[in-house]
Amino acid sequence: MRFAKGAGFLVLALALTLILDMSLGPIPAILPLLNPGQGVWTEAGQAVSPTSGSLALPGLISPVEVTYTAGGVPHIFAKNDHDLFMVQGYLVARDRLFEMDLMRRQASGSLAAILGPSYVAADKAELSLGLVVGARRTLAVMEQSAAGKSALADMSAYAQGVNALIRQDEAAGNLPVYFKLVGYQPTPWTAFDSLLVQEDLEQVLALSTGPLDVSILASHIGTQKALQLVPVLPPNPQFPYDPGPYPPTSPAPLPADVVTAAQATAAGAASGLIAQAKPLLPGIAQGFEMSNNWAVSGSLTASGKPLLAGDPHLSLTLPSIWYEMQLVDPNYHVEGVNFPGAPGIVIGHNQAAAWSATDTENQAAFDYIEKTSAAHPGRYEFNGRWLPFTVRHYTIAVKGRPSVSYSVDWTNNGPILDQYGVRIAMRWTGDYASQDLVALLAMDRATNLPEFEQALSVWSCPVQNWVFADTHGDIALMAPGFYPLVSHGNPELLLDGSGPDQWTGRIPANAQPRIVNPAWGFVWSANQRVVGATYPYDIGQSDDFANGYRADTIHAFLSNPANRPFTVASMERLQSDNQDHLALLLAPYIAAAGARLGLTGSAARAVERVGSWNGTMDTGSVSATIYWYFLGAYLQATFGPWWQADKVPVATDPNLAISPENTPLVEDLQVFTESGESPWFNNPVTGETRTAADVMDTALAKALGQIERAYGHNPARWAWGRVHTRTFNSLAGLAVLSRGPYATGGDINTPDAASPTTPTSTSGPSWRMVVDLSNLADSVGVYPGGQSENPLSAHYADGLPIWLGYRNRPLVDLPAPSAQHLTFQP
Amino acid sequence: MTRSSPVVLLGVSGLAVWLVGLWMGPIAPLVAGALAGLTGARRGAFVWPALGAFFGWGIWFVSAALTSPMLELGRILSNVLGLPSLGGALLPLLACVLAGVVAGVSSAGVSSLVGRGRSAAA
Repeated sequence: MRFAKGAGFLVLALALTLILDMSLGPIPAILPLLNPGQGVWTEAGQAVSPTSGSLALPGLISPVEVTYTAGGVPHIFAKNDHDLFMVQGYLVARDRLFEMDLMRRQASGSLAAILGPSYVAADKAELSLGLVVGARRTLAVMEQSAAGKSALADMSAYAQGVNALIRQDEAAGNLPVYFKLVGYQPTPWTAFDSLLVQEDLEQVLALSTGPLDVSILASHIGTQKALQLVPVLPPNPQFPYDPGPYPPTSPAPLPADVVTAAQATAAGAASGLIAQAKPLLPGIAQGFEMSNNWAVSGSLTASGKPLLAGDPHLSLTLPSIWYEMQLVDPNYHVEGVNFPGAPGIVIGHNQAAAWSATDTENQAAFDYIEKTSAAHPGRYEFNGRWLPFTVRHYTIAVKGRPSVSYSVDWTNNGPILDQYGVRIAMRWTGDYASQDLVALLAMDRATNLPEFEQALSVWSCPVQNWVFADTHGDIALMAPGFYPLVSHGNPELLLDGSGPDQWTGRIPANAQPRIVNPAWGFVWSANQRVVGATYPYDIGQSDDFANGYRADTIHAFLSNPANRPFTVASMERLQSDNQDHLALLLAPYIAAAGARLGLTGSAARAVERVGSWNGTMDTGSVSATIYWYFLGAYLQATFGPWWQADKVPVATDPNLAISPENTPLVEDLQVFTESGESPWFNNPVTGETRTAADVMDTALAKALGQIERAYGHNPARWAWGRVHTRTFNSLAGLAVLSRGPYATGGDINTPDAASPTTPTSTSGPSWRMVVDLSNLADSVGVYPGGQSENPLSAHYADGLPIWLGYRNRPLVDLPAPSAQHLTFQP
Repeated sequence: MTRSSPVVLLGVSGLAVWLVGLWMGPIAPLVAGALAGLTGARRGAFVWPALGAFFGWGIWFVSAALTSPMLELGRILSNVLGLPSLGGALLPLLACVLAGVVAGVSSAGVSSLVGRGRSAAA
């Protein structure tokens, strides 16, 4: 009896231990999570990383010294490249291992393995896009050149450092809290994983659904009208940074292919598949990929040497997409930010030059309708022959469930996105080799413009507007990369996959956008169309590029002699500028509409004040609120009836929604407004003929009604800061680790950009940097977040209040390790 | 020996759960309870090892809370799991209770077996 009792107790104890050692659905395993020796609590002890003393790091060739400065920024001093990148990998992993793991898992379609069945669709979408294929192709190309092999060696050293950190954490039971909550162990890092991280960025910056969206629109309102609303050239006047003259060529105009309803259905399905990849994780696969950068020559600065400024706009998350550090060895002396998971510095400066990037926004994705036939199963027609699909098979591991088999059919054009209906293949530059990491490492070493341009010669995708300035006095802006060309078909719509609409070449390097030391003394980009109307090659349409308002504001500031001579402080002021150029244009129209409506009382005075408002979207501005609501209502009042009449499927394709973020529609409306009339002001539903004034009156009345319902009748309570906020979401999707919302200024059109403007912005300036080439010590920079992903660290979000206050930190460039430093010993 | 001192039971369990936990983590309460049970106690074989394990981990948590932001982490985790926080102390408390229960049951089981064996030998 006693034996049975004892055995029963023992079985119960064992069962309790086993049950508490298992994760049940979303509930993590309790005992491993909560036990003090190895559980989640070790995260608390890791909140303060050692910044002095000595640590063993087997694999190093020589000792490496690391000094930390304000904000937890490491400055690495090594004696060779291997040790430099090995310690870089170690330190970045110490602060960002979970973020790095998420990034490689996203690109390789393996999120469901750790996050469960709800991520299978997202994994399928990623595998369909072919990021793994692109990374493999890049690896194969790198293995064939000396520069590529050298970069691979650096990436391997980086991986060696990451893996040393993983082994050390696992041995001590100190893996970051996220791994314990989700309940898995990171696999070793490889050089290939760095290429997957690169592919993530290619997806964010180069992948678009433009042709699918325009095709869907065309199938509803007609091809001619669609192409009228979404023209190749922006309808409003803009400032391209490379205004020409261009090489003498004479491209033929593209025909406007008619889109059928069946094609639109297929486009909708393909667009939906891409959309599956969008909401994966905040900050990785989605975002507002717009940015600012500029450089001014020494002739316009107080110091006599150039100033360079850059603020790439991406999703604002905690932790950030950026990690700040300085790398020093006999070959490198570079300071700036990089993407966790890859060696080197992406944006920053060395001892002779500085650089930053904005997305060029050229058309990088082309969509092809493939011809298939029941008589030729498993094949597609190409140049009159029925070719077999190349089928790529994948096995998707799923947490808590059996694995899922998944196959992606590829044609000569690329992966098939819609596996179910009419088949659309997407050919995009991200599926091809791009030696970005080779280029970045060479850029980090470049000491003058020729070396910088030589470094970029192997850059392919995503095409970026690289701004450059050096201590010799040169300034430049250039966008080298892969620009595919077709000689038949309209790339703005769906192309024929059977042969005639194939890519026939690319824009030659000597014709790619570029400007060096212009006579007017500055270069700038803000994702506006980069070349003028006479540019002989098709680089994209008006829905690819930003609307140009940020570029206009920056251009106006840099052109204004009253703002000169430029200093670091004036560059910081421009980065935080909240003037909306479109607001400046529309303000008089709004005031005039108010007068026509015969408004009375405080609302009338508020609208009247809009007429003399300078278009600045500050938190306290009432005019900003009136303008923003008016803009939304004006767009709806103009285009809404057309969308309604032709049943444009906004619900299934949100990119077609009428909103201030719809670039072509906003540009169109500006032009219609300034001309005073347009057939688009008429109402096709009621048959009413309207002028711009008629529609504006309707829109203003509606906007004021919306504002009063949301914020009351007293305009004193209509401040922009109540309408517009920013939120910084946790990358892990945990609300408790997010920050905000904070009342902030700006909107999608201001240099201090914010997207979506309402209800709360989650994208914007992800890194602000100003480099003074006369004295690098005066350079500044900050990103909204912190170096550590550990929420208990003092550096989890310590940059956020600085960033929110439009201030910066010194971009510290140390010549040597300071007295207090951490030494890594072999 | 059928009656071990409560101090022995408590001490063995408490010390074991602390020491074993450093290397073996989640199974520490099971092992600690088994070690306490090996003393062959019949009375208090559940209660005292349970209290030992409870306090063994509890002392660790208290010392950790004095030197690190452990309570802040407890607050965050409680929020993530949708539980009340109790100033960040709920989850550490829960861990101690679970350790105590497992150690107590384990001790009672081993104690019964060991005691039977000794009775048979006598």
